[in-house]
Amino acid sequence: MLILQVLINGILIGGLYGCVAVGFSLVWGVSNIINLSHGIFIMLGAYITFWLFTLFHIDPFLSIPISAAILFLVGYLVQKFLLNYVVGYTQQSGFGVFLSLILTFGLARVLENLMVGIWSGDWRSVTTTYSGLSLHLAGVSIPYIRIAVFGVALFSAGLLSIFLYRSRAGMAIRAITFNTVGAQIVGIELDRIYNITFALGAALAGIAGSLVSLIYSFSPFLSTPYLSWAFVIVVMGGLGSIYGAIAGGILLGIIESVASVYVGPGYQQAIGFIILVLLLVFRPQGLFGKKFLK
Amino acid sequence: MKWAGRLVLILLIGIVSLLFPLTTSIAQNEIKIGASLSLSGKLTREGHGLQEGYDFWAEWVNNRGGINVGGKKYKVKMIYYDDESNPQTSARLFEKLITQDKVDIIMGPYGSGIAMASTTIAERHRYVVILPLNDSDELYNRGYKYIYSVLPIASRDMIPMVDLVMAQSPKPNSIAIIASNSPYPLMCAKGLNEYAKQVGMNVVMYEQFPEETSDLSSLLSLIKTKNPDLLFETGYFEHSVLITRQLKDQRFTPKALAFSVGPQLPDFTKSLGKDADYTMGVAYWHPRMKYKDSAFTIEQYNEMFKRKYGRDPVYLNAYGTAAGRLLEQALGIAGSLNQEKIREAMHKIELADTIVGGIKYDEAGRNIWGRTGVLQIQKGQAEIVAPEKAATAKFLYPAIPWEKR
Amino acid sequence: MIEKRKNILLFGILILALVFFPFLATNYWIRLFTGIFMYGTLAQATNILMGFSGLVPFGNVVFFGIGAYFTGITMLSLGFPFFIALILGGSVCFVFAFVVGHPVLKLKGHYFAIATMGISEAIKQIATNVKITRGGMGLNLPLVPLEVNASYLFFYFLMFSAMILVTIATFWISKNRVGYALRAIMSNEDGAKSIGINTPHYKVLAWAISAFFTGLAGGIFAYWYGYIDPPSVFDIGISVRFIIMILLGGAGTIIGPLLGAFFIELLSETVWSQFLFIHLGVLGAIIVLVVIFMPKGFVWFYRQKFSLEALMENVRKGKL
Repeated sequence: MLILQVLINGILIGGLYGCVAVGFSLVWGVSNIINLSHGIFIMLGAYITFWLFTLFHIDPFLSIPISAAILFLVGYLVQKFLLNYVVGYTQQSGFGVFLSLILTFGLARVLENLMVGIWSGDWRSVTTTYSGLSLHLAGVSIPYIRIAVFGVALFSAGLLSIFLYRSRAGMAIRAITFNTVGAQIVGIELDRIYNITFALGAALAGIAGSLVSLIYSFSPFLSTPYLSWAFVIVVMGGLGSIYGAIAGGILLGIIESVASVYVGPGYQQAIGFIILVLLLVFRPQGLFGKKFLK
Repeated sequence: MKWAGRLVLILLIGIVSLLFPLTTSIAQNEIKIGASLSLSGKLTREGHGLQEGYDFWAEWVNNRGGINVGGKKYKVKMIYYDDESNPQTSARLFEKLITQDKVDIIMGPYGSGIAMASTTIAERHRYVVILPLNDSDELYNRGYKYIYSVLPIASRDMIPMVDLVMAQSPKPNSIAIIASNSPYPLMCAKGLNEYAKQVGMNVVMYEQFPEETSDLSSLLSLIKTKNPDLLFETGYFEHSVLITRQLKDQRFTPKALAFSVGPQLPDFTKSLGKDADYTMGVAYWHPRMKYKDSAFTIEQYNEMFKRKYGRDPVYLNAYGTAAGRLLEQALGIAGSLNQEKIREAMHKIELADTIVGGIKYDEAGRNIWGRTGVLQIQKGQAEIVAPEKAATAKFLYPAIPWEKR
Repeated sequence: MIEKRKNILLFGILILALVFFPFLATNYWIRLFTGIFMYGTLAQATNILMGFSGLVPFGNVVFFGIGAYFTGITMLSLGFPFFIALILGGSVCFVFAFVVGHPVLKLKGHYFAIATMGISEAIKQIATNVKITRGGMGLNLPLVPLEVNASYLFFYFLMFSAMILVTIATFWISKNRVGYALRAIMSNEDGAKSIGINTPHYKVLAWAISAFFTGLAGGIFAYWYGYIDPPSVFDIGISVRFIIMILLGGAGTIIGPLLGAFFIELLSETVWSQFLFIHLGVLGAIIVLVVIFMPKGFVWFYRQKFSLEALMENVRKGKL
């Protein structure tokens, strides 16, 4: 049945959407940095998996930890040597807040062009021997890869959650979201926490990217939709909330899937943005109640 | 000392402006040909393909002493700019080529949106533009007088495919048509839709999808429920790969699957492997076709091209080269570099033999002697299946379902 | 006061120079400057909202697109003459901003910025799918009924006038009640409210005025280039570009945005011609450097009399 197929398509892809949004949400919620390079980090993760697979025949799922590790390093360096200069401004009112936006926008363009220069703008994707196989139940086709992607996405979010709630570094990160001054008083070094947070956000982008390479075609120029989804989902799910990001992701996945079939494929993206605007205006705390920190 | 500050500022601006390139030198026995192409951005591959085609031709003609215009021989100098796959940039660059570089002729870019924007500029300046790969009908429906296409008109591109499948038995009777949302694919699909209806087919779907999309699974699910005999798509390379993959995911095999762009490029079979078999593509040109022009056959062209670039040419290259050859003919007839004379000459052109087939123009610049062929991937190889006299293999119909391959 | 006289004199000379310039320059330069004036207009228009109130409308390009499409559609389908279509386009933007502004301007800081981005993207998608805009095919405007050289001059002066107009508007606003209210909002919105300033009204008004001029620039652009499609005129990159110009030149100043436009456009053109392949990357790198070293823009930098110590002091201050 079509509706069932459409719903399942939506839910499965929603898991990926959630993974895309989680890192973005974390960085925004903790450091108040809107990372416009998030989309390009995802592409980077996709390329890492692609090249590991194409050159060394490493199974894409096995390359996920590698991709995460590399992006973690990249994120750490970016925060430490670039963003930390601007973070001071982001905490004030006035234009400081937008400096991080513009900085990350510029960074994204630089990375984008670097990637095009090295790897060309050609669309890539990863095709394994098991890529085309799907499960068939009740007239519905469920590609195995999508199930796996959904699983990995949720698993990663779960890991992040455990880290944030059970580890010392995680608790320090959460402490900052409550009270930056208080956190500093008990000895937490803001800079280091920002570094780790951004690095985590990037690592999650890397994971999302690896997953993307399995399902979609990608190129350095295709980073924008991922960023857009991240925005919409963060607003839907509430800033800084992991469950919100996943739930929001799945919800968005379903909405887009349904819209593309029953309204028209062209409106797929429009729907997301319209929801974004409506939510911001009428329910800025998102669908799940967590109010924005400001 | 505020004056000092201001002075510095003005000096700075002055220095910056000095960085501007001065007008290019005027060489006596040289024809400057301007081309603004996508050398970066999403259409890079196509832009480079065209560039190679132009460069090949420029080198070839210069090795023979140049182009003969009114008794004098002129060498060819290509001037390239990168339009970054952006229409507005292309328009700017056309203006630059015309007003700053003062080129003698302009060769067109790749991409219908880009061509739409930049040809407007050329038309304003009354400059002739030869468009090797821009055949979107809209371009030629504006009443412009200075643009000339080498490809046949877009809306007719998929028609030979329809004729081919209609000649099979049992005859297919339902078709789904999807188009990427930009000028060329939309025009192609429009022509396809009208013709399909004309020959009595039932068009179960006629939809457009966003050009930048990376996921069409829901749309394809919908198509699966309608179960058409044929699925024809018009779009760009990436879409053909995406759709083939996602159709396989959904386990839906139309009896014939056709793409306007995709199967003609070797990357299609490289990316899809076995899954590429049975797909049809528009054959604008293929190295195995049997065309020739007054100086060389396609076989000879292939050899020369391979020697220069190390691989077989694709349609992007061939059309670039053909445009150059066309220009030679036109300049020969015109006998001068005056735009109006060149224009008149273009309308006198009647070439039955070029490496891309026939060329003759109507008043709007459409190539009415142009015909596309049809190719089909069989066992990983692109075979020409229509027109018959250029065919290398027989058309295989219907396609075997993915699961059974 | 002599300062002021000197300023006005300098300004006057500059304007005169720009008026005579096109009669002495080649078409290439005329076109280049027309583009600079366009960005000058865009930057100045957004400066009206951003410079005084501190709100950053990242999605302001939506008005550029709406202005462009409105001008195009009314000319094409309804046969309106250009100037009427243009003013209509600008006015539609004004109304749109006014209507949408009331709910959207309740948002602060980041969230306003993102909401405007969302609006721009949504309108872009709608424009791509609706028949009246010709969707992805793009819109071809009627050809300008002027001879080539005349058309170059025509657009040069048109854009120049738009830029002058919006600058006058900005100047006027900076001196009157609206500017006062906006500045009060920037320092402390709640405080402003408590002394009786009708903050929503002024914010919306400022946004609507900036929308009008942005739409004007869009309409001129459409006629100038003759062909528009949704990805070109609803491009967030354009917004980011003119916002950077504002920041570079000095937000809230009168000449700042114009200087920023001039600098970035010239730089872009030189980098472009010299470095065919990597220019976007270089531009990105410049953005990064500017943000780190000159976060308050040229005019501020210049007012500090180019003191290096002041610069380093601020960089250090940036690190918490």
